Amino acid sequence: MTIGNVAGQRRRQQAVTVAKERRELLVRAKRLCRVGTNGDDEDAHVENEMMIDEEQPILEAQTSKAVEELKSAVQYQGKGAMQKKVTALRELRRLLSKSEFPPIEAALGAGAIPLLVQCLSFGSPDEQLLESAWCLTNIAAGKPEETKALLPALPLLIAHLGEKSSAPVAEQCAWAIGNVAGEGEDLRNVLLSQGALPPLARMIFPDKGSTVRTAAWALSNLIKGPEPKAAAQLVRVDGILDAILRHLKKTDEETATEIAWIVVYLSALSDIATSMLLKGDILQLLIERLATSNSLQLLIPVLRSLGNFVAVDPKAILTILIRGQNTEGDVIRVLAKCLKSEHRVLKKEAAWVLSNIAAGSIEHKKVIHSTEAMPLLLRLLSTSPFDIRKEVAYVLGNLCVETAEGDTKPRIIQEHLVSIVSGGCLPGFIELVRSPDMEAARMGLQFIELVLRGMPNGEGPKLVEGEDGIDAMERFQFHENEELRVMANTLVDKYFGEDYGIDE
Amino acid sequence: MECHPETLQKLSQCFLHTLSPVPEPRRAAERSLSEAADLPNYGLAVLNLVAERSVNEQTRHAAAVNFKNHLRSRWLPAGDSGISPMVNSEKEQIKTRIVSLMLSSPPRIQSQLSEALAVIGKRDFHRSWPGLLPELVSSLQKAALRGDYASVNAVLGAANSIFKKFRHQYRTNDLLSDIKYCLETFAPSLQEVFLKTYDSAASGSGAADLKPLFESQRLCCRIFFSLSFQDLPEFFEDHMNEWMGVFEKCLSSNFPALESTAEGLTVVDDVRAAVCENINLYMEKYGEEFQPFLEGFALAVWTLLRDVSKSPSRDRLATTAIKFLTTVSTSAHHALFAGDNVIKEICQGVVIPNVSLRDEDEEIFETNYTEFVRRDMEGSDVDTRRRIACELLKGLATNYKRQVTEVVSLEIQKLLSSFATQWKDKDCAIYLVVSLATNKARGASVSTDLIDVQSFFANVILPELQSHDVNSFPMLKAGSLKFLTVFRTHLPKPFAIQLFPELVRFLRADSNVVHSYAASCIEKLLLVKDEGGKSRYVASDISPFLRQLMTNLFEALTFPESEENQYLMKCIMRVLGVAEITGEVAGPCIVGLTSVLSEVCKNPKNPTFNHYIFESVAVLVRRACERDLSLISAFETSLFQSLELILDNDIAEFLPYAFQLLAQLVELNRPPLSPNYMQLFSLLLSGEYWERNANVPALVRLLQAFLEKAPHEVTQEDRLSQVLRIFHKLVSGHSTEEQGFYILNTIIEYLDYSVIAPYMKGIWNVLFERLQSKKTVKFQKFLVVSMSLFLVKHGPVYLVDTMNTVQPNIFASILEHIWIPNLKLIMGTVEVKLTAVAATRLICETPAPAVSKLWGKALDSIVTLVSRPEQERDVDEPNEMPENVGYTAAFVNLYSAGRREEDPLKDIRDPKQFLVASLGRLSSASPGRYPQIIGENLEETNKAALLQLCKAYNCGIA
Repeated sequence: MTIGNVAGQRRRQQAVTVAKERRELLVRAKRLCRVGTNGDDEDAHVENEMMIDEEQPILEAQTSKAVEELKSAVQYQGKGAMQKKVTALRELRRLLSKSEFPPIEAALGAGAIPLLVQCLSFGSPDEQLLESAWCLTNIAAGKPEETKALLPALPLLIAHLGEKSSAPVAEQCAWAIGNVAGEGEDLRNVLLSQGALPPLARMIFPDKGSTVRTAAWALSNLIKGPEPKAAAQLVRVDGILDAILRHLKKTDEETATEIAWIVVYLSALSDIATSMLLKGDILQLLIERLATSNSLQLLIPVLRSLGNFVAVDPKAILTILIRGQNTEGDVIRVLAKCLKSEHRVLKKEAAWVLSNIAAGSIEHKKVIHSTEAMPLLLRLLSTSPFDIRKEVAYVLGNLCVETAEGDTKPRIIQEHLVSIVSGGCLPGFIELVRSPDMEAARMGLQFIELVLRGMPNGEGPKLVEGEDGIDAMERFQFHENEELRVMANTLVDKYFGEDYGIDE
Repeated sequence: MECHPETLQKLSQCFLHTLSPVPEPRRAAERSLSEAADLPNYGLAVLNLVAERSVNEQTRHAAAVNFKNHLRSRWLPAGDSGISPMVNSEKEQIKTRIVSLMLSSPPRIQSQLSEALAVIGKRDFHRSWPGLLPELVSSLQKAALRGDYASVNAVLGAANSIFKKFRHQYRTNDLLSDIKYCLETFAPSLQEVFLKTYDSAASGSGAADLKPLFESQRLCCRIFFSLSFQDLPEFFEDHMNEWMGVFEKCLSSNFPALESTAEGLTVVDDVRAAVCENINLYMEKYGEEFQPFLEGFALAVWTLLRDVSKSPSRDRLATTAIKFLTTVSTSAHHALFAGDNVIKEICQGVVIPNVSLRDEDEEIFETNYTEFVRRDMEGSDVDTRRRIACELLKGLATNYKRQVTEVVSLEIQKLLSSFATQWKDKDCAIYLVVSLATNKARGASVSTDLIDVQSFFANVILPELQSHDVNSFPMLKAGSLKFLTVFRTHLPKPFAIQLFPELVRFLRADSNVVHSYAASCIEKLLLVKDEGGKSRYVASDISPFLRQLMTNLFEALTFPESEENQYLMKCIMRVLGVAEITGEVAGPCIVGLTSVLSEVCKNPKNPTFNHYIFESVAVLVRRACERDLSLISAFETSLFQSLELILDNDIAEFLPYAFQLLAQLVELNRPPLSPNYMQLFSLLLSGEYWERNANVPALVRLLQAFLEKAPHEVTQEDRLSQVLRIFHKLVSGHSTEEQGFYILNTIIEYLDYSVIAPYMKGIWNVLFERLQSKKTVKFQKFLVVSMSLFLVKHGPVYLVDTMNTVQPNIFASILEHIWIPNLKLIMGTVEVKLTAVAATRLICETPAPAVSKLWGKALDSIVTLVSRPEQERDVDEPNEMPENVGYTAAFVNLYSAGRREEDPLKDIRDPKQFLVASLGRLSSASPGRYPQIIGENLEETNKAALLQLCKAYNCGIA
């Protein structure tokens, strides 16, 4: 019996997540706007201290009152009407930006949305537009149903994204839209059908500025799927990929972070984008960022993108692997740096990228096997938290098998298997067999199979038995998962089964 | 079926009758219900009856059970089951009614409907029943508000059954989106109920009121487990404090109102065990998020265990709680155990009490020995307290080996010093040593670094084994025998040989476990191999006490409860496989075995035992006849009786064995075969036995034996065409095709060409037709083997001619499309040799195929075949499900009656040499022609390989 390929490449298609999404990062999906996009320092001192409970009712009352003020300002037609509106809007915006927990409910309850929509009408002065969009931004940063309340405002917010708007207004509108897009797929679909994507995409064309950053963030929210159609639409925007490559090469880390998230989704969801970006030598850019940055926020999307590219086109990375050996841009060395990091998520992502590289050709495997990453990986397999151990196991497993072209089954690379096993990895894999995680258990069983079949002089069974492997496998004797049950039982029967072989 | 009052009346009558103690009306009612079940809307009608309050509850309960079973078989019957599914309109009506009906029913009916609901929920989840979860949630909320815990638990019970499917599956986007949907819809209400219920339970009194609250807590915990299994849900992470808080309180608080009775204690312990499973899952998978709670839980569990370990019951809680500590001990946070004396306290407070024998163990030892052996010796004790407690010690030893070693040796000494009063302590010590020194009870390798095994053996085990009274302290005897079995490879041979007579003595012990262990120990010792794979114990080692051994084994088979003791029978088989089988041994043995056999024929119960009887007979016959062929007639006399009994009474389980034994006897016979056999042969052709799939491999084996041993007799009187009809039938079925080929190959190999010539056209026809209808790689490979066999037995000319009678020139086409491409896929030493030689003869002895390209391709395939290892040539074939999967007896191969694989080409030693020599001869006849063809048609690697071969055998291609 051959159990088959150990792992192979795993591209991160935007999978459904039950767990917290990217909890390791700043809260990305929705962002409150505390300081104005136009850089006004009027409100620059943000009251960062937590609201005390008693203050919340006061804040809410003030908000209701501010909405009332706005209502009368909107209705007022006389002299100074414009100024009156701006003043009322500013007050409401101030209240909505004041606290970590803005009084959104109160604002919505008092009927803020229709008024704010009215204030967004064409021809309104920039200041008015800016203040309304800001209010809407923070309302959209609220709970799901509060975000949904923005529906009537979306056409105008999108309209103000265009080149005719001033930069601060466009940016503020992009922010609001980013929050709406962050809410979920339904709202993303509304935004897409109303044409939000092209103007948003064009906002990242300039070389720098906060507008680029905000728009890139909103854009990444808009295309993140799991449906691939938004990503596909983005690729069709002329010049977008050039802009992405340009930013990755030059821009500051914060903007690069937002751009890198766009790359994450493109590389996960669009094959066209993936191959075009590869042609633009994106791997080199990503590796440079990895080598030079220490920003966790940036490194994570860069690693994810890298892993996706490797999964799609293992050949491209090989050139760089070999070219970069023992230089600043040594891919493995850079990944090893991430593996050594204190940060769990970084380790996990780096291990995942390595596992994709290790799933490549024999050359890929040889490069990894010859590096300093090996002792590191072996250590991580025995000492890290579960999810990292699982990723590391994929790397080590992939290093031991090869699927050459024309082969129908993976072959064992005995040299790697022997060195990895003698490095003490077997207990780690057997531990995975015992874990309640189905994928990890399967991975562990597959590795045990390699050891049983592939270690020289038939010492595999002794090793597995010595590390309590039979016991680990026998736990599957009546397991609910059929594949694992059959796999484990077959291995036990084949290598440790009843011995009928009576010598003649 | 319409829901008239009359219908309901009639159904109600039927269900009442199904409860009748009188068989006649009961069977009639069951019959008419099972007929009615085929009618559309039957399920709905039964549900209406369940809902009918005017009907008495007993009848309604019976109806509810029937309803549930009806849904199980008919909601979504398997495609090939032949059961028609319920119609959609009926399903929809059931879905709209069932939740509210369940909630308004009395408890007994409610729990049936809850299960019925889960049956639907599992099959129609959730896209086909979008209304279910929202309805459950709102019912849950309302019931919780009313404090109606019967309803709360009915809803939770249904949800729990449905959500269980989230465990033990691989992650896919579909699975995750299902979980996400459940979390979004269900988790907030679940949490609300869970927290609220805990508060009520903590403040409540009165056992009767509290019980349903705790049951509800348990269900909440199990649902939490299912929903957390794949990934840590965001919702639970956000509310970790609330959940973990209550979990910890469940573990650390006491609930005297319930815990004062045994039944109440079980209810509370079930919640605690469910909590332990949850925290164990979080510890294993979500360690980082769980870490802030870890210390509190470790303390709570450890404190709880101190109590639980003392108690003889509370198994489930004990095992789950110990598992949690084991997980912690091997995790990155093992430092919790690093403190002074922690390990000592765990060893004394948890491990020793849990390893100690309990009354229950003694009871099983005495009353259910097979269960005891399974748990104690064969590793199905994964979840017993003894085993789990030892796992904890091993877990601790991964990081604190020194401390564990010290503490354990100290404890063992203490246990042994108290032996004067407590034999149970000695048993505990033996169990500890065996568990800690081995990685696996039945394993051959042991690690002895935790324990000094040798001195333990000398001081504790040996005196037991040498004890004169085989019946004193049976559990200690069993433990000592187990010890010996486990450490068998470490036992020096002379020492073991001294112990053998003691083991033979213990076969006479009254205790079933003890004589089973003695048999098992002997059996396993005889399997021990030294370096290099040679058996350590041979015939001469056991011959001094062989007679006593066999006598005791057969005698033990007469002890109460051991009439079908598989350990004894297996030992008989093993001894017969090793010992020198003289006539004096064989005689009593065959008598003993056939008498046991006729006994089990009356009522075959234990398939393992039965298998070993037949295996014993087969090995006895084989090895006795190898020494002295004249013994065969004695065997025939004894065996024919039993075999006739099996055939005459059509004992389905035994037929495959019987045919295999007969095949063995036929093969051992010298022609001519006795009339007895020939009578059997006609029986064999009758076709009746062939209907049962389990018989087929054995029948084929028997048929092969006849064809080989009596080729003349079996071809008389049109018998060959009967045989070929069987071949035709087998080769046309996908699951039996290989059996068909076995028959064909035997015919080709053992019958003269003149006999088979008239039939060959028909044979090829059958094969080519089959090839057209279903062209699998497997079939093509078999065909290549059969053609090759024909070629080497009867020559290439007959092969080509007979094939071409089917259709002119078909041979060329078969060669090109079947033979050449599949040749390189042939596996197995004999097969590779056969097909390589046949193909070589084909290209070297027949006028070369007109197209030289084809000649080249054929050679290319041959070179691949002989030069590359199997794993490089192998292809994965898509797994096809066997066509017949039934519950009937399965075929089990008898190792000792197995057919010896014959090499049809004994005179050719090396197919590679044959290849190059033939090529050399051929090419020297027309120099210059072949190197060119080779150059044009062989793959580069094969050219190199061929060159290599020429060099190796010093042979050139001109």
